[in-house]
Amino acid sequence: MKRCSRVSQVRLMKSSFHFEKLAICDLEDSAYSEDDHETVSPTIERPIIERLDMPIMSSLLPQQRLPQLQRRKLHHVPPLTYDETFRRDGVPGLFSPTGYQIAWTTYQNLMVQKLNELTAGEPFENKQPKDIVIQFARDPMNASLFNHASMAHNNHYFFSGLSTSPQYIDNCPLLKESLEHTFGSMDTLRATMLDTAAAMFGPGFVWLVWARDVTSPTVRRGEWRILTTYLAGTPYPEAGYRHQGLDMNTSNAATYAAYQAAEPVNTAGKFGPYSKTGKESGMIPPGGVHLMPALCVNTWEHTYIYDFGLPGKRKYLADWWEAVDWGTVEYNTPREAWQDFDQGMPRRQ
Amino acid sequence: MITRRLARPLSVLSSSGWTCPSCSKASLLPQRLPQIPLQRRKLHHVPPLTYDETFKRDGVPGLFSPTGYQIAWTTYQNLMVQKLNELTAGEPFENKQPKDIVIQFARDPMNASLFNHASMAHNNHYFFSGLSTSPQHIDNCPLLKESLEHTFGSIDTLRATMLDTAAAMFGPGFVWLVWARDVTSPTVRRGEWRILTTYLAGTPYPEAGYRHQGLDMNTSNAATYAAYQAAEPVNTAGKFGPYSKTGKESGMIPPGGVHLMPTLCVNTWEHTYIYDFGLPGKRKYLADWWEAVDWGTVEYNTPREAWQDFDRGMPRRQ
Repeated sequence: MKRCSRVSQVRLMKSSFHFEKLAICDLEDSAYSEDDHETVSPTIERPIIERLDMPIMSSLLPQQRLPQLQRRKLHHVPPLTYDETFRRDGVPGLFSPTGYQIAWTTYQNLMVQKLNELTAGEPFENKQPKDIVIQFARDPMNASLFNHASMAHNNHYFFSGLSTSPQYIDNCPLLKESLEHTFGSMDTLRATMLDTAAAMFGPGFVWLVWARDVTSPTVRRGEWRILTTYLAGTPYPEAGYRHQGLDMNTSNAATYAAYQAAEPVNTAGKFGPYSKTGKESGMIPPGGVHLMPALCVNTWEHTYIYDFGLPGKRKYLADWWEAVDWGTVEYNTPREAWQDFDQGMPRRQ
Repeated sequence: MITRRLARPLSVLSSSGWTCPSCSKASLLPQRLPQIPLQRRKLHHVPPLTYDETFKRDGVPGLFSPTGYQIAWTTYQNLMVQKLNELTAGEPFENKQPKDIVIQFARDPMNASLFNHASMAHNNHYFFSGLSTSPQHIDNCPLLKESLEHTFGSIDTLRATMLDTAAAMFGPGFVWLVWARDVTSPTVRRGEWRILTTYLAGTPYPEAGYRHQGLDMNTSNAATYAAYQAAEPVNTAGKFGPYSKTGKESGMIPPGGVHLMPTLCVNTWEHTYIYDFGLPGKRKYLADWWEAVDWGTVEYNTPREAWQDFDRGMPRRQ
């Protein structure tokens, strides 16, 4: 096993022993790592002890953990690129400074505080919100953790699409052409997205996503779609029924046995660079689509109620559309969206 | 694709006035005169609260400022009612009360917007009807207090359960204090108190479930359904009459549904408390709401079987 450099923790039993600093080899806690490390599930504790200040106690079982204060990275409100200007002047054409403070600073702080409370002392406490979202989306016992992580992520995504000097869509010709290929025109996209958001009765998000078509193993292509998520819903399909390749509602014992028999016994290369679709499909639930979000709008009431009032949802959406930074959307879009539609082939950029 | 419901012109002959041509020609039934809808339709309007004038001027004591009240009640209820009027224009149910619309369309996905607005209008009204300029204290409603303590153990437990439930709900919704009636006995009326949560525009009324479907099709097949149909009384005379009490009550509750009667609710939508308490102020809002509840209204909403003489185990004669 390759030696890791970062420091991690070992669980401590409550009855306790107070350890001085112990340098313990890192537990690679992401199963989706690109490295060549042997991947380890976060629930398996196999510390390699590099340096000890104290002798190994016989009770140093894998479930023990060190004091957290020295090693935990608390969640914090992520620094927006334009946060200083937004604080001072608001978001141009959209939020006043106070409106921005409510929609971003106050709300994000709430999410982050709760996230810190809920992840304190857990093995996933240093994970990014998106990873927490994907891990706990289908865990009803951790619904609160999922909700707060998802809202933190979604709200951040929303504000990262805003800017002090937003790029016009006309200055992003590749993106514009790609969007028009799917929607027909930018006006149609606008009308569809804003009407969808206005029609949603409860709070949520509306996403502009790129849906990748994985039926061809050699050619990358896809299309644009509009996706709605209510409350703290997440657009990532990996947050679905992970590791379950069969819809049990439409199966029985015989079908499940056949499915299990069809699973390749040898999974070598399933996640490697030689199994592109395998890698992508491995984490998507049956019937799931390969979505990559590019843009979203927040339709929670607290976001617009200060600047637009309770009846001002439609105006808020219209103003938001004018404030979208299409340069960020272009950045978020995968390259296969830049197709030369006349020639029917991808553009080389 | 979103299909927008267009505002259709009101037809002169409403659908309820239609008679089949052979009947209208051959019979001696008087022809229905064409309706002139403008004079007959009753638009939905913001229902007048008992204490609306004082609330508008001074706010709700101990809970909302005048502006907060305006946002939570006047503005929001107007929004709901306007949309309700748009959606019911020219329809046969245009004169129905919001609660009836709720029960009719709860399971109709094509009318989700209609349901949502009607349900929010009803729930919001219910919430504000539990507030008053001089709320009755729980100690002045001894029967209610005894009944609640019988279910919850103490009023503090009820308070903690209800407020913690409301605080734990991530998204907006309502938390209801409901009386769940026990219908297993055809002669004795009894029940218990329960706390119910509804998210977004959800409704607490069990009749809003699968009406007229007395069988869970997920667990049935053709044979079971045929047996169920055979078991239905052919002669429905008396089924809804005074001699069929449980029949009348059960007729409209879906399988597994409980007979609930709401008595009190709290609105946890953000717009309700964000002005007076701020975004992080949800818990304080809930605590202040508890102090502002008018228990006299709750007592009024409670069915009489809740007043039990628990020592003797029999209903109180009031």
